[in-house]
Amino acid sequence: MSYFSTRFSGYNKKRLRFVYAILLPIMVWMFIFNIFPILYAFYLSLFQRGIMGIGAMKFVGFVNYGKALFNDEMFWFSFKNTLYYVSLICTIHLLLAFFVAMGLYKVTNRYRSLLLIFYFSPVVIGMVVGAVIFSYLYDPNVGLFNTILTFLGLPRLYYLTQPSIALPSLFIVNVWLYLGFDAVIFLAALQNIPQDLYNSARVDGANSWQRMVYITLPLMKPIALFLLITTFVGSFQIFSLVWMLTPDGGPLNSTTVLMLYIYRTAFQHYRINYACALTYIMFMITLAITIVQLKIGKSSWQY
Amino acid sequence: MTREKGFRISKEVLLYFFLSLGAISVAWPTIWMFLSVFKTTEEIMAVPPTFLPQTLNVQNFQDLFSRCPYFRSYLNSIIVSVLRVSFIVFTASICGYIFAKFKFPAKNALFILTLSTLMVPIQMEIIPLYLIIERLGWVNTYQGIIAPSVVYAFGIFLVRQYMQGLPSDYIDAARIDGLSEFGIYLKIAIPLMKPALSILIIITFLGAWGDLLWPLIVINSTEMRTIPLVLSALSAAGRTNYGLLLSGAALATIPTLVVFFLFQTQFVKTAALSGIK
Repeated sequence: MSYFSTRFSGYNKKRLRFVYAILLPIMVWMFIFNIFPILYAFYLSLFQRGIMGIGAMKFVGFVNYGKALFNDEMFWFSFKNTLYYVSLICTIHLLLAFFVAMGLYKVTNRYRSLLLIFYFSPVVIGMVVGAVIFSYLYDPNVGLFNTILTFLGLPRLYYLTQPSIALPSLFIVNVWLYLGFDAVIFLAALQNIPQDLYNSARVDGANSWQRMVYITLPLMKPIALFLLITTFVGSFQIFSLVWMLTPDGGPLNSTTVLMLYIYRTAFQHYRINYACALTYIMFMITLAITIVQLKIGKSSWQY
Repeated sequence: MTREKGFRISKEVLLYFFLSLGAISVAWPTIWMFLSVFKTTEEIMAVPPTFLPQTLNVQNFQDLFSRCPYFRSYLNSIIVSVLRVSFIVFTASICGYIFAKFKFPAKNALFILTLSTLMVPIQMEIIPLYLIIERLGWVNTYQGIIAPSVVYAFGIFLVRQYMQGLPSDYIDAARIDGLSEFGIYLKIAIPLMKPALSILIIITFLGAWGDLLWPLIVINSTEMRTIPLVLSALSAAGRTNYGLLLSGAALATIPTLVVFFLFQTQFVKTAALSGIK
């Protein structure tokens, strides 16, 4: 008896043929376009080329990584910008979404579904169109925001050209875009908390604040952690918004985030190999922080 | 007693007030866009701004179609989005079905390999992907835009989870009746997984329609541009002609609005179920 027939006994031959006829081409495609690029990026990051990507590739080991970490101010500057943006999103944005969810939880069903259409509409509109709208709202002369400020007797703001507020201005667009979306995820978790818990706490004489602290918040922890991680990973890769509103990287590079820096390095300066190293560093940072968040989350679940 | 009741009511009023205020603020920019596209350039530039357009001006749209190949870009976007969604729906439905309902060697290894692609966002792969696409001669083509998103691991995962929760009775019955394996997939499995597929269609359509980064890299000719590329080019060209820019943006929302109203009830559930942006 051959190895093949014993290995494949217990499987229906006709079904196996169907499975492999379908699965193999799809898996090969996935390998070429979704898995191989990751490995290829690492391979490329170990080489160097002449200026403007001309000349033969030369193996240099981890030189590109060293250069990025110890000898590239722009990398650290864009990293700092990215972290600033991410920290705004992971704190203020998520808290706002949680408050909106708490509010939506308390109103009547009919009113809630009406409000949800409003809160959810930006997701349908999308980031690119949203950015266009905000570029109009942010216009220093004719934009709505400055019109309101002038009406209130306050000085005008230069939302996208003033270094100190350029990145927060982008953050506002992100809040607008995803507030309803994240609130809906919180809301679903709130609605999953059994009413019995609240009722028995009420019988025990717990007031609304205590019910919030001892029931709602602990039970919301898993979903909050999930949102924290997905939001972190998502906003860490911010590109479209920056590209639409400040394609040049903002005043004094104040909106130059990591992804924009990588894009420029690869496709405007043609330093493909170096950009691959930057990509890998960025990937490692994301992975590390995700793992840390998971660890912290897990340890604080045990009570 | 009465005092406490009065306090409660005012608290409730405050809740409704702030929630409504938030809802209006969130919806406002979109409404403002739709109001502004019908304004003339002078009216858009007017301080203080007018609320409703004074005249129903369509000059902005005329400019849009005469000054840049907007129509061609619209067509590109529709072709690319529909193809991307169709490919993803096909690969996700058939792979998800196979992973859920078949036994075969290396099943777990293949499934884990598929899921592992979820860990690495596409942003991380754009540089090597571009080199691959360039080698294939697919720069500036539809297949160049579509190739990396033919297989969507989350879709496979979604369909597999959904199918695992369903009994196999129909499938077994169809097999006894002599239906081919592909026939079973087409006539039995697909109708069963419709709810999961509609979720997948919404997510992937919104993603494909608004995709900016990858087309930006793989497309560099004017006539192959998709809508996000046109909008980014228009806004980079100068922030003076807002009428033109906003009308381009407003027209771009039509397909997503259509999808939204077709799947309205499914939509909010999608967010809660997937948590995917």
